[in-house]
Amino acid sequence: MLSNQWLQNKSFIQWRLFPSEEDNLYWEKFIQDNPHFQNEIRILKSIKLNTQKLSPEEKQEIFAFIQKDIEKRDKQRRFRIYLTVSAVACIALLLVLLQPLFIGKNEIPHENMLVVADTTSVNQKDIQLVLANNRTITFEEDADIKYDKKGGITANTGVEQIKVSKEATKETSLNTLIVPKGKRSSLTLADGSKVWVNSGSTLKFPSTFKADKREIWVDGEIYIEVEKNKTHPFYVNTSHMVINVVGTQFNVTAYDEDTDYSVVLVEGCVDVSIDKEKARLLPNQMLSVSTDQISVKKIDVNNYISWKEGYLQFTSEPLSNILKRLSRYYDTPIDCDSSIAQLKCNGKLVLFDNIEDVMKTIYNTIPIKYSHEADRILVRKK
Amino acid sequence: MSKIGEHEEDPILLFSFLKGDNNAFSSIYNKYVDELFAYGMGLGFERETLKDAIQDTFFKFYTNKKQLEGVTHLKYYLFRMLKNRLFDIYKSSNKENIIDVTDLPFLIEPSVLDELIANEDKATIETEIKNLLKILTDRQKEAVYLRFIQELEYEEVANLLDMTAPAVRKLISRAIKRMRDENF
Repeated sequence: MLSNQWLQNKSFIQWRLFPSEEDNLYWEKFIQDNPHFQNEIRILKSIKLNTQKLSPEEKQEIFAFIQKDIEKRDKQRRFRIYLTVSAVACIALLLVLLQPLFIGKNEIPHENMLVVADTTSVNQKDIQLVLANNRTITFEEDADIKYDKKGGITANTGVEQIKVSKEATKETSLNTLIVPKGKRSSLTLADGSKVWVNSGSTLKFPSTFKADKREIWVDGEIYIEVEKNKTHPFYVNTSHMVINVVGTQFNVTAYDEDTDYSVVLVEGCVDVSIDKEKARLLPNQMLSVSTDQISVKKIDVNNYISWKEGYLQFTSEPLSNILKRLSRYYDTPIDCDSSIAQLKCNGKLVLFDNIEDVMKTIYNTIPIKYSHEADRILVRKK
Repeated sequence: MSKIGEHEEDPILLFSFLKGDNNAFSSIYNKYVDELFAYGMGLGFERETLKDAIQDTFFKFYTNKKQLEGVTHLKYYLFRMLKNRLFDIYKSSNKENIIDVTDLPFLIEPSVLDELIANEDKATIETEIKNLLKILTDRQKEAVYLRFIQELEYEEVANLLDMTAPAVRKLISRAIKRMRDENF
């Protein structure tokens, strides 16, 4: 038998547990008007539902298990990353090895692929590496250039190798790598960061980085894997943006001649500053600026970084954009009929050695025809 | 009452966690592990099964950071992850039957926490409350529990019950009306 019948007041209990607005007024007034029920009200207010708890030991144990699961995953993950990286390295090596064979078929092999020349007599079609002391090294073929920790240079074109020991200049003075339309290059910076430089791009960088920060300047498109180093932040500057990195992989498209530019983040975290605006990017996000409108959206990163592996990948990309990229890549002007410029394309396009093969692929998959007119390609509706 | 403070804390915790702060992860765990456990008990799961499910939930929470980008209500998100995990466990142990989320039971155990009350009185009140709740269906019990005890939004309760928000409102108002009618 309950010592106080009021403790069984079901409507009060119900209100305590599931307060509905219409009951609030009534019971709030009741509590005010009945101070002698104070004890009962206190007791009924202490009713809780489903208060089952884990013991502190159980909580600790579960948390320890979670941490173990995470460690296990991190180990597997490190292993996986290692595998992908070595796979990529193999592909790159293969291309380098096969290149001389292709060249041999089409033209007389050059005896010296690497020409050391003055800036004045440079062929605009060649890749140029302008050193800090204004000495220029040119490459007729796509080059892989490496700066070691001391600023020494090794360059490889797959045909020949060149070595330049450290220049007697100020360590932090700038080098310039100019990759013309139709050419590609990759570059390892003194800190070990790796940059893939796409056609029609210019990259400025020091032989060795300053003590406090690492900084490079880009006009064009690069894909970069930045070496992690928390004490030396990495900055990528373009004419419109500054991208601040701790250690990450991302793609920057910022050709000075284009009004649109973008940053795509593959891994890690970067801060992008445009004038006074600042944005933080997370993996699989793209920041793009078009006619001064800044937007951040989720994207499939492969669509933006596949060029460094020798193919382009698209998801509903307008034909005109694809042709623009090809034009830059092969250094051939392409005109596109406005009726098909907005045609949305999906899929992969292998970047063959010559543009003819690429145009054939497009011709076979979407309803277009193309023709050569002088040094241009015209694309029309079929 | 620190309810408002708790809500304000969550976005900060989540942000720090996404930035890689492991202390934020253990704070989130310690903050919600009891509520998740109680919810799982309500759904009628064994203590050990539930402990495994909680472990899986937090592991998935840690490793799928990408999915957390748009999350606005941390507590609801964890409830949802746990329920999905529990439902998978339930399904794999009931292979022969075609089952639905709405098949899960829902139990509510009342307890009077006030320490000055006599044990006998305490037991009487708890029985009374059980009788009061007996007239509700499992889904009504789960809905009022999530809405009033866990203070989730109607929309969130609806997602957990695989119903629409208006349907949940109706379900809850019927439950309250039923209890009230029974009382008089």
